[in-house]
Amino acid sequence: MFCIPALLISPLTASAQSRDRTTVIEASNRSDSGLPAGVIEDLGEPQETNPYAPKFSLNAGTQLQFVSNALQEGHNGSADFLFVPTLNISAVQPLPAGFSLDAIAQLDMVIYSRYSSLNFWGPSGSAHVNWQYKSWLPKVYFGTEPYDYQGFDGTNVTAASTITTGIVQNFELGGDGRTQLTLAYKFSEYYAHPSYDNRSANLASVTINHNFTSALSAQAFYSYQYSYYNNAQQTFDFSTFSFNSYHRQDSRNIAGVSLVNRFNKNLTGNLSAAWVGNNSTASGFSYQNIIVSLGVNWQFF
Amino acid sequence: MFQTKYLLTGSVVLSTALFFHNIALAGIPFDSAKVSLTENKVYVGNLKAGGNSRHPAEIGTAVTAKEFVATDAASRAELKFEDNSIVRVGQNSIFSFDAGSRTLSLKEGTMLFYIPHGSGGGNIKTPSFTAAITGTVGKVSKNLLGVLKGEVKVTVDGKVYVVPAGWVLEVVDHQVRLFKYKPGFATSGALYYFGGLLPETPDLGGNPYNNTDPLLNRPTHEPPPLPTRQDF
Repeated sequence: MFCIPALLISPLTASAQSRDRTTVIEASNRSDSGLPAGVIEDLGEPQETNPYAPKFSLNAGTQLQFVSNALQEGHNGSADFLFVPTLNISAVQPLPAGFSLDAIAQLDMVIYSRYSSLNFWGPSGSAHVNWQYKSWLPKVYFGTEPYDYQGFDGTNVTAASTITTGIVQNFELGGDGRTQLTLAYKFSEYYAHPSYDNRSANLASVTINHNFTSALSAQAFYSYQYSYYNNAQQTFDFSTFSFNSYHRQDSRNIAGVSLVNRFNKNLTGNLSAAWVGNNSTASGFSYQNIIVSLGVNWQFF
Repeated sequence: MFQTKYLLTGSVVLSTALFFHNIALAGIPFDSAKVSLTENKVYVGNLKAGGNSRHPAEIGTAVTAKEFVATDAASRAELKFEDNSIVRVGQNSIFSFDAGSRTLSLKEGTMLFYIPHGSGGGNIKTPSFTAAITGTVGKVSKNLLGVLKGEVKVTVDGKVYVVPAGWVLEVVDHQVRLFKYKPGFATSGALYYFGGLLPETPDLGGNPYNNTDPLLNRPTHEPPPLPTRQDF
């Protein structure tokens, strides 16, 4: 998870140290390392890579989810199984001085087994400019995370363009490199359709990740999100013969655990469980939900 | 008299504390290591007596700082030190170590080293370079050093180079070549898996999927939560 920053910092460190070393020769492309076969057999062959080369990834995944409250009304009264396939392509472009660009384009689909009238699908994505000057410093980013979801019958469910900014700080715990603590904060401004979804959201999260092996890792996480809907709903006041709007405010707590296993270079599996509690000042928007999810992801490249 | 006694006792306590403090800072000397794994023909010999003194090494054989470890073709050995440092010696290698300076010397062949963070670090010495290491994982041959974790300061012909994780320093005809390696190098090669995975994982880079959100180890973008019924 936290290797991109290292990728960005490394070339800087090396090039900074080598700038005044006249004996350093510029790395050039080579097809043959020239190392003896025995060395390659024991150490592997170190082929050089361009630190500023863009990286692309194509992923297809699916989640089978059990949700205790598919309607997200009240307390866990509408259990359902969801099938959630996704397809995404992502790109990361490292830049000098700790900057990078990343972008993801994704196609999501949510299929309910019991409440099939709620089925929806649509594109979503994100694009960020990231900056992390040193690997031990926080990463800050700025970008957009739009989405556009519609029902299977073509009706608009929800869509928004966003302005997002955030900061992420990683800490290594225990000194053996296996456990990381991540603190993150994100602010998003949503310009939504329908417009009563316009909102400002503040999300803070804390995550502990532990790598049992190089393939198997576990996470425990907690997040708190405060959303302020500035155009939540309008009611018609007959006494004044005008529309009154009220401002909806939501506080959402999410706590959960997950296990992630990388079976091979391409296949990753995950098992997660989370509790969601949403308190809203608007009636009908407070709910609790329990989500248990089993998923696989195939990374084509 | 009474005060002198207390002063003397205090001095002894302070000196003892400083002594152990300095040892802790410098790390436990590499006095000896135990052979924890062998493959095919592995030998231990006396450094002063040379190659004629060598005798076969087995699992459990203690190797001191006055000895060397040698391997034949298709032969490998793993050594474990008291501070949990691990050295895996590849085929056709000659390896030794110095106690006080915590120096790992590779005269021929290859090795993979793991020095736990906070153990006091150490040094690497080959015919081409010397290197100062702290908590680090790396791969070494006579003229090449690849850093898998941490950072290594390498001295070549009196000049110092800082090599971070993900980079290789190679010395060819007294010329230094630094380059970033493809991520697959970190976990490739027989020594990486010889004896099982190391206690620490390398700092692998280059996987866009690593750009994850703290939640659920997914990419930074996630679909929004399920719509509520009122959204329809």
